[in-house]
Order: sequence, then structure tokens, then C-alpha cells
Amino acid sequence: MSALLDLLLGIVTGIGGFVEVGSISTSAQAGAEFGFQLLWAVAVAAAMLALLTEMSGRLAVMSKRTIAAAVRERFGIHFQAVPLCAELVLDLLLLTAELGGAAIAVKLLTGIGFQWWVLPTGLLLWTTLWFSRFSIVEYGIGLLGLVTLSFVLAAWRLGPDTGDVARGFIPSLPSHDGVRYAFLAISIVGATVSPYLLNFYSSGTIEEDVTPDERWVNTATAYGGDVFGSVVSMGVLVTAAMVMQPLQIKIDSYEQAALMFVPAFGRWAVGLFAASLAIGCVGAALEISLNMGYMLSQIFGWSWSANKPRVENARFSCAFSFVLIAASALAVLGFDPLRLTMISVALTVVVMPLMVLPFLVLMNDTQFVKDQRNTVVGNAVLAALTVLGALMALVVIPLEILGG
Amino acid sequence: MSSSTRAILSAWLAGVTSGTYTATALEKTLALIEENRTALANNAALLVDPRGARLADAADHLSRLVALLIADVRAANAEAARNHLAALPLDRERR
Amino acid sequence: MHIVRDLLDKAVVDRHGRNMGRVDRVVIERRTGVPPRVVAIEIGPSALAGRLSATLGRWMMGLLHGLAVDEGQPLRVDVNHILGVTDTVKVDLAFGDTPAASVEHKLRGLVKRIPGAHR
Repeated sequence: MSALLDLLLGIVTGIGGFVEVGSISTSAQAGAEFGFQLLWAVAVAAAMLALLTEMSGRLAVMSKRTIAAAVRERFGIHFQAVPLCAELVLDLLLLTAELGGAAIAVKLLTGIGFQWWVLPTGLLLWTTLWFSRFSIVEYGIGLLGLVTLSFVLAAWRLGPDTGDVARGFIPSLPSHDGVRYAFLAISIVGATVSPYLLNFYSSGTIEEDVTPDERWVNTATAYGGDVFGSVVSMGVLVTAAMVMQPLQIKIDSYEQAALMFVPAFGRWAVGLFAASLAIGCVGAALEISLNMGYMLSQIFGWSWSANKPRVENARFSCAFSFVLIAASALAVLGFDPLRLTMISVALTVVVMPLMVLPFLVLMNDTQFVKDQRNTVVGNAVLAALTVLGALMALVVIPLEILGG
Repeated sequence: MSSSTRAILSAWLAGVTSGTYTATALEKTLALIEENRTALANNAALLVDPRGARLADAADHLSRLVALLIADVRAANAEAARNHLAALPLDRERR
Repeated sequence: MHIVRDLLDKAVVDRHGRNMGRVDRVVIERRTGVPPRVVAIEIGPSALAGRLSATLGRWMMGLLHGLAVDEGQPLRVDVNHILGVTDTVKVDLAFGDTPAASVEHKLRGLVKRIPGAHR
């Protein structure tokens, strides 16, 4: 019974926590510019995420180590220094973008400039992390995050042609602007498969003390949460496709993006959009900050747990606090959150091959995963993902320059 | 940007969105138009070309209209807003 | 050397099973005519930094020294104190007694003044 409840909560968290500033912006732009044609990209990205999430969880369950810890132990600090530095920069930028997104959501409701809301938001986030156990953060994000189902509701209310939507799941060549199409497809992947998500998930698995005989919960949560969660992203895309594309409106700001809710929700449009954007961003911000604490502690060997008093794990507590402070300071400077989001997403793609590669080794090393090694199929898919990741990493910057 | 502006205004004129939101969204649009204008103005080569010069003029025109629209919205003047809306150029943005 | 590989980067726990950090560097003694042997393991940011690059190591030592932490020196654990190596390296010490605890203690002094730190 308890395992079933864990599973349910896990899936709800996966759904509620799926969209944040990256997936909202990339899916919205994709819908506004290419209609349903990029739905397949959302599906593929979700499948990639599910695969990697399940592996992160399995690694943690079987070895009692997270990815960050396992990479240090298996590859050594010399290898890890590179992805570590990359992820530090990436996570800081992404956190800044999330803070910006949340602040803009408040701006939508109040009319007061988003920079004023950065510090209050940062403080709220820090207070939440300081005073909460892991499960409160996790399930809080998940349950509150269900407000993002507004995107699915909006898409449904707009009554899209099911045939057209279904065709969007089959990859097709665009009728215009191939460069932009490719760039958005890759960006959708970058927005979905964020490195912090993987380490956060494996850390959470250890925080919750998941035992090897509960590993089916891990598998079901990873796939269920990510697959159902991607439906929210698809909701964003379909809504933007139905509302913005016919009017030939490109998404150029979050302020303007709120319009996509008008036909479906009338007077509630801006409020619901702001709430969805805010909660999505806040949830992601909590995870990114906490993960920074996890990652640094695991790599450098500090004790860590969100379930212990903060004073007992002072270095861990200071690490996640510091990254929040740094990101808040950056966000206050007023960089355009949409632009910052797109930069972070592109950077994620560049960094991705380095993140995926270690899985190929770790998930087949009995010292870590015991008898739960990857199947041949699993390895083949993982290898294909690594190659795909490398290809995407090579072209994303040129594509951004040419068509971003 | 023109179609953006039109959509934002239409929602307000229909009474669906608040003046606060509309002004906020229009201000952001204006900020983006201003960025485009600056980029155009700094590109001497583009300005020498008659098409470039027309783009710069269109941006100027749009910028002024959006500023006027923001004032209309803040003053809750639907009448004036409708007039300015009618003067908005049609977007010929190639997709 | 397999021993070095088995030691490096692994988590270190004290005799009570408490986390002490990671093996950041291994000290090897080389003598002519005799195979090199592991003499000690080192735990600490300066050891880790020094392993990445000598300059970085010196810089880290200076930083820690300036912050009045351990005079910048890493914790050196003699190989004789190693009780066993499995997933972790168990050593015959108590965490609280070692200087490796210094950074944590210093920060605890800061953290405990913030409300909610003891919950």
C-alpha cells in the first residue's frame, strides 16, 4: 500500500514538476511558429528523460550513491572537474532564468517590474529550503505544480483537430525556416533533459531510503512521471499553436505569451498563466538549488541530507543557500529571462554528451548496480543517445546563431 | 510585433484582460521594438539601403503608436485606443 | 597501481561509520630498488586542488590558511590506520577529533545563528 502511494505521489510530482521556464518557452515558441509539427520532439525528449531518470534512480537504489558520487568514484576528479564546472555554470544560469520567470509572473499580476520581485522570491525559496524536509519540498512542488495542468485544459478546450495533433507526432520536414525548426527541436530536448534533474532524482531516491526490492517503484515513477508530465509540455505547444500561430504571433516575451490563455480562459487567462509560470519556475528553482547542495556535497564528500537539521550539515546548507543568493543577485541585474532561458537550454545541449557518457559505464558496472545492469537494448539506446547528444551539441550553437 | 500589439489590445478592448496587464505587456513590446530600432540605427550599411531605411521608419512609427497605446490604456480610453489600433501597420513578417 | 585506484576518490568513514570526506590524494613513497608503496591518504580541499594542479593546490592552501582553517593543510591518515576498503574506506579515527572537521565546525558556528538551523 505504501509503495503504491509512493508511486502515485511520485507520478503526481513528475507531472506537477515537469514544466518550468525552459519547457514553457521552447514549447510555446515551437507551437507559435510551427503548429503541431514539433510534438514529436516533446515526446522524444520525454522518452530520453525517462530513460535517464530511471537509470539515475536504479544507480542510487543499488549502489546507495548518486550520479555525482558515482562519477567521482569511478572516473576520478580529473574527469569530473570538467562536467562539474560546466554544470555549475549551467545550473546558475538556469536558476537565474527560473527566478526571472517567477518574478515576471508576479509582474504580470501587479504591473510592477520583475526585478523588484527577484529578491522576495529568492527569500521565499531559501526559507522553504531552510525549514523543510525533503518530502515537503518534493511533494509540495508536485501538488502545487498541478496548476500547470491549465495548459492541458486550455489545449483541450480549444478543441484541436485530433488528426492534426496526431500527425504532429510523426517527424516531418517543415515548410519554412528549416534552421529555426531544427534549433527549436534541439532546444526542446535541452529544456527537458536537464542534468540537475538526474542528480536530484538520484539524491531523492537516497533521501527516501528506497530499497532494492522497491526498485519497481523507481522504474514506474521515472517513466510514469516523465511521460505524463510531458503531456503538460504538449499542452503548452498545442495551446500556442491554436492561439498564436493563426495570428502569426511569435513568442517574444513571457508577458505576451500569457495571451495564449485568453481564448480558453477569458478573464482568468492572465491569472492562470501567471500562476502556472510562477509555480513551475519556483518548483524548478527549489530543485536546482537543493541539487547544488547535493552535488557539491556528494562530490567533495561532505555529509548531506535535507532531512537532517541544517546545522548538522553546514557545508551542504551553505552550498544551496549560496547558489540561491548568487542567482538572485544575477537575476536582479535584469537580464531578459526569456533570452537567458534560451541560452541555458542551448548550454544544456552542449553539456549533455558529457552527462550521458558516464551512464554507459556505470550502468554496466556490477560494483555499482550489482545485478541490475542495463539490458542490451538499454545499452543500445543509451549509446544512440550519447551519439545523438554529441551531434546536437555540435550543431546547437551554429543553429542558434543562424536562426535563434 | 505589430500582430502582438494588436492581440494584446484586442483582449483589453474585449474586456478580458486588465489595464495593468495590458500596459505591462505593451511596455515589454515597446522595449523590444526599441531594441530593434537601436540595432537598425547602429547598422549604417542597412540604413543606406532604401529597404533598410523603410524598416527603420516602420520601427519608428510602430514605436510611437505603441507608446500612444500605452497612454490610452493607462487612461482607460478605449476610443483613442481603437483609433491608434487602426493605424497599426499589418505585419509582413516573413516566417 | 590497483591499490591507489581502489583508494582514490572513495568516501572515507570513521570508526563509528560517520562520513569523513573523500580520499583526495594518496601519498606514495618511492625508494630505489623497492616497489613504491602507499604511505598515507589525504583528505581536504588543498589535497584535492593539489592533485588537479600544483598551482591550484598552493592557492587553495593559501585560501584556507587565510580563513584560519587547519593552516591549509589536509588531513593525512597513515595507511596503518585504514581498517578496511569496501565501498568506503574505513579508518580508525573519530571524525570530531580530526582537523578535517574544521571547515564544517566553522560553518556550523555561522549556521547555528540562523533561526531554524536546529530543526
